[in-house]
Amino acid sequence: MTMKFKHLTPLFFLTFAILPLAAGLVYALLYSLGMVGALGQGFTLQNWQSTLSDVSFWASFGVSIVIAAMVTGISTGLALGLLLWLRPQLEQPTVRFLLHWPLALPPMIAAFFSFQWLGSSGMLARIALHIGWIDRIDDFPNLINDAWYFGVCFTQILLTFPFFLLLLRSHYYAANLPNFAQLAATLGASSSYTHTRIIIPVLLQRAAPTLLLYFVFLLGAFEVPLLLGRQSPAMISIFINQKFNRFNVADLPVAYVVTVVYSVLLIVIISIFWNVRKRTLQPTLSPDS
Amino acid sequence: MRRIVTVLLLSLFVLPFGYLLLLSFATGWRFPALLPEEGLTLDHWTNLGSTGGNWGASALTSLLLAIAVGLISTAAGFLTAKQLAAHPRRSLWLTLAYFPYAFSPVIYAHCLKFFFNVSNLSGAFSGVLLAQFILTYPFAILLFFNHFDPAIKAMEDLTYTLGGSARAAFWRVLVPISRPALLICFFQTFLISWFEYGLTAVIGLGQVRTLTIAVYQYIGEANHYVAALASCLISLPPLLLLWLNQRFLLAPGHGNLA
Repeated sequence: MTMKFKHLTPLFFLTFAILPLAAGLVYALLYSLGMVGALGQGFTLQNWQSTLSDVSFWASFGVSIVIAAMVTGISTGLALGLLLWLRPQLEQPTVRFLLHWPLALPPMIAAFFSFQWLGSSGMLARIALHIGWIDRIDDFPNLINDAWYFGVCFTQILLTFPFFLLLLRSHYYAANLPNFAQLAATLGASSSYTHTRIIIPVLLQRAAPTLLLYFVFLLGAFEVPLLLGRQSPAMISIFINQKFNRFNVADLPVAYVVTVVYSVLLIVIISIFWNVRKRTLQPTLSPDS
Repeated sequence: MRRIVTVLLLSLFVLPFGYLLLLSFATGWRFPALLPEEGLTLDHWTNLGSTGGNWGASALTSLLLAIAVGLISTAAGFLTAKQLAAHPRRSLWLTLAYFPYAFSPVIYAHCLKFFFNVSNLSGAFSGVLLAQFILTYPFAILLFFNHFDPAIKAMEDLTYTLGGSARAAFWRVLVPISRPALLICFFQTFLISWFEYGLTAVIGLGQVRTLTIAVYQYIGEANHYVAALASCLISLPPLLLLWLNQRFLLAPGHGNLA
C-alpha cells in the first residue's frame, strides 16, 4: 500500500460513509429552520414550535420507544428462558440449524406472513371458526393494524428472539459459563441461584451492546409497522415517511424537524452504546461473534 | 415437555416458509378454507409473472443489485478497514462508522433524497446501487475492523521482512488468510441489499423494482399468490447460505457464515 493510498482511505471513508449522512442531516436542519427548500423564507423557529407542540409527533416517538423496548425486553426474556431450559435440546445439530431459519426471513416477508395468519380472514381466524371458537368472521379479534400494535410486536418478537437466542448461546460458551455453573454447584449453589446470580448477569452484561443496538434498529423499523401497524399514532419511520410523501408541501418542514429529533436521539443512544461497549470490552460485530 | 416445546418452537420457525411455499402454488384459497380449494398449480412459477406482476424481471434486478453491492462493499470495506484499524484515531473511525449503520434506512433515504434528485440519480438503478453502497459500506468496515488484529499485521510485516512486495503481501498473504471474512462480508452485504425495502422505495421511486418492492405491490393489489412466490424467492438465497454453512463451512478449519 502506498503512502498516498493510506491518506486517501480516511478521505474515502468520510466521503462515502460519513459525508452523505452529515450532508443529509445539515440539509434537514436547514430545511426545518426555513433556510433552504422551496418553502424557505429565512430563519424561523415556527416549524419547530408547531412540530414540538403536535401531540401526534410525541405519540409517534412514544409508541416507537415503547414497542422497541417491549420487543427487546420480551425477546431477551424468551431467549434467556429458552436457553436455560432447553440447552440440551439446543445442542442437537438439526435444532441448531433450524434455529437459524428465522434469520432468513426479511421483515417484509415476516410481516406478510403475519398479515396472512393474524388478519380477520387469516389462518388463525379460519382455525378458530373450524374448531368452533367463533361463529362469524367479525367475532375474530383485530390482531393486525390494531390499537395495541399486537401484530407488529408479535412479528418483531418472532424475528428478534431467535437471533437473541443464538447470540446468548454463543456468549454462554464464550464466557465459559458451563464451567462456572459446575463450580457453583460444587460449592453448593442451587440451580436457580446459579442462574440468577451468575449466568443471567454475565450473559446480559456481555450482550448489552448488541441488545442496545437492536433497540435502535427496532426504533427505526419500517416494513413491519408499514404492513401491520396503525396510521395514527404511527411508528416514527412511518410518521416521517407519511410526512415526506404527502401532497401537502407544508408537511415537509415537519418531516425534517422529526428527522433531526430522531437523529439527535440516535446520537445519544449510540454514545451510550459506545460507553457500554467499551465497558464490556466485547466486540459485537466481528465475524466471529 | 422440553421435547414438545422444542418441536413447537421449530415448527413456528419453519411454518412461514412452508405456508408461503404452499400459497405460491395455490389458486383459490379463500376464507374459511384451511387448505387451497381449487388444488395446486405451477402457473405462478412457470409464467414468470408474464400474466401479471413480472416477478422474473424483479428477481433479476434484485440479483444484479445485491451482487454488485456485495462485491463493491466488501472490497471497499476490506481496504478501508485495513487502513483505519491501524490508524492512530482508530477508535474515532469505529465510532463514526456506527452512525450510518444504526440509522433507519428509510429515514436515511429521505435525508439523501434531495442530493439524489439534483444528481438525477433518483429512480435509476445506479442511484439505488449508490444508496445501498452508502448503507452497506460502513457495515462492511465494522465487520472487518476486528479482523485486522495484531496477528494479521505481524503476518503482513513478516512478508516485508522476507523481501515480499506490498502487492505480494496483499494478494498472497492478506487476501488468502482473509477469505472466510471476505466471504462472510460478501454474503452479509448481499443479504442487506437483497432484503432492503425502505431505502430502495424512496431512492428508486418505484421504478427500480426489486423483489421486496414487488412483494409490497402484490400485497397492495391483493395478489397474494404471487406475493408468496416472490417471498419464497427472497428467502431462497439466505436458506441456501445457511445450508452451505451447515454442510461445508461448519467443518473444523472453516469460517462460519451464520
